[in-house]
Amino acid sequence: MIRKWLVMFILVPSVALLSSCCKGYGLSTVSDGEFSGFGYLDDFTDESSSAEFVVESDEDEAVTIVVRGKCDSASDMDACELKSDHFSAPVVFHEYGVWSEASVEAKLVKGYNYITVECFRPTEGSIAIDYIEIQ
Amino acid sequence: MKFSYTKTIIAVSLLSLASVTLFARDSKYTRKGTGPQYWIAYEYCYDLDVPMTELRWKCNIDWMAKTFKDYGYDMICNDGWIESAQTINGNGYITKYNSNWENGFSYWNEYIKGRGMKMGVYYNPLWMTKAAYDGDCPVTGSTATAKQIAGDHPFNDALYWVDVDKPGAEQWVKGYVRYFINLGVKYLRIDFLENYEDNYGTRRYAKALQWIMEEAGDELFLSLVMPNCYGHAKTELLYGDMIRIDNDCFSGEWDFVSSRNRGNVRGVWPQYDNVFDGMVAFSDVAAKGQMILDGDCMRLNKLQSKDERRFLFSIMVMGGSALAIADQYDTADDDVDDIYKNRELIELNQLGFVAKPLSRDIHDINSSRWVGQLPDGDYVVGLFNREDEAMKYGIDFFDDLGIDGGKVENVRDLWEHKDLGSMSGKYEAELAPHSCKILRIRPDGKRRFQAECSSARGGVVLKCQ
Repeated sequence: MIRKWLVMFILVPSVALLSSCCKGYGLSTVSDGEFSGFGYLDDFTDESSSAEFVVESDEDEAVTIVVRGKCDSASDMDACELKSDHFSAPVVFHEYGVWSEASVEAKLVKGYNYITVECFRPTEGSIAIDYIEIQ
Repeated sequence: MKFSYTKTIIAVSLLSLASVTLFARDSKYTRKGTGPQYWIAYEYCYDLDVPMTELRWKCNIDWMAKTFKDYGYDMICNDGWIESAQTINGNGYITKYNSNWENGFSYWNEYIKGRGMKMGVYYNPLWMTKAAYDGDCPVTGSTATAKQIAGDHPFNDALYWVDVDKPGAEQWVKGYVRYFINLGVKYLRIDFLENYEDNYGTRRYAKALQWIMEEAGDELFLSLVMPNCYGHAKTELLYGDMIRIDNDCFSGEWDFVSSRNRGNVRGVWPQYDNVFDGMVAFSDVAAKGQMILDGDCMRLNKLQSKDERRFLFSIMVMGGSALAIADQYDTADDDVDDIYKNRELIELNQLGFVAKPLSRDIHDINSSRWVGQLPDGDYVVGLFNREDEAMKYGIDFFDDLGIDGGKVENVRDLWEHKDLGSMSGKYEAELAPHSCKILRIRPDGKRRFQAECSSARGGVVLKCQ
């Protein structure tokens, strides 16, 4: 009986602590089931679908850009690319139906970089994009 | 006939290219993303219901050059009350804002250029003056004459509409646009578009806008005024750089900013009666590469307090609107001038910055919280209290901005020009009625760029909390 209470004593706060790490409960990182920030872009479905990010760089640099997105269908996991005037690379997600990250090797130049995530073919389902992160 | 696989493949490829849907005009203006900073001759005309006098026009140009040019306000534009513009050239195109003026567009363009600024013109190239009609002017580039291209429904006693289905109409419309470009005009404010669409139908309206766009190219900024915006501005998006998203400024008071017919929408022009509702509702089409929103001109001298003035200027900046001063040399005081001169907010317009409300529902209190992101990764947050009582507003660094850990390096108040230092969790403040906070927030750590703050194109939609 005491052991059972001990387990409850440890388990319940732990679950509560983990929950607090999810979006909507305050400080931490975004969880797998959630998007980051107040929204995301959805309905990337054909060649006209794109989103442009303007990124300022202090110098020419080689970087990894992480794209967080979600594909409805397995066949759409490689339907996007990331490009600017200085690089172009496919964005390949490794999962579908959940938010996941794809990494792209990229080049930023000093000044403003106009980086576009775009669909390059019609998709079976929809693709959503949450953010890009420069690493 | 011999079947050719090659030709078939080429034909199919071309068809698939043609089927790529175009959503918005691609111009250097839409690629920048925000509207021009300029002065417009509205206030005097509206208050007295008369055309601008030439002397007052000159005084205002001189005042703008002296007071605001160094802050990026680099254009001067006439406004309506245009019926007395009946002085025409051989092609039937107007040469002056008003026939009683001594000097025409050509003279004033040089005068404005001489003061380091450029000229915009308020006119609709679908208009034909009574003078051109009565003189039955030849339409250059065609065998038609003015009377042959005039439509059955005139705009009023002084102006006819050109019917774009009549032979020669294309030459008239494109010729008018080219005429303004050749005069040195950089901005065309095309008014009463709903009247044309109502009288001549959407098909002809779209054809007219297409001709104007084709001739304008990147040489002329196209400002579409009083559009019906059917289908959420489906037609206007294709052909314009900027659309009016709310009713006229009129007397310029708080009703124009936020309270006039608040929360109500019409299916035709003006869909929204106040700036704030219009900005919220059309925020989804406002982005680099899509459409610039135009909240109309500002008469800050007519607002009751510094808070209300800051509020109006701020929502114009956050929405990426044109920053159009209608105050004049003898109606603006130093307090008004100071609002227009906030360099930290002006910088946002000049960077092509466009923010989004946290909700596009004009009834949702979250539509009073706006977020955008700058190329250096900083967030710019606008908190607006539209209400008549003080209320607490805030922004959660993790939930709303997506900053991992919810810790930020610095929060800067762009109206007080003060750094508030590092913070964790959220920023909150009680805002007085009709006041706002514009904050520049520097995240701590990662260089993350949120998709909801990027410029979406095509059929891509923003989904919010």
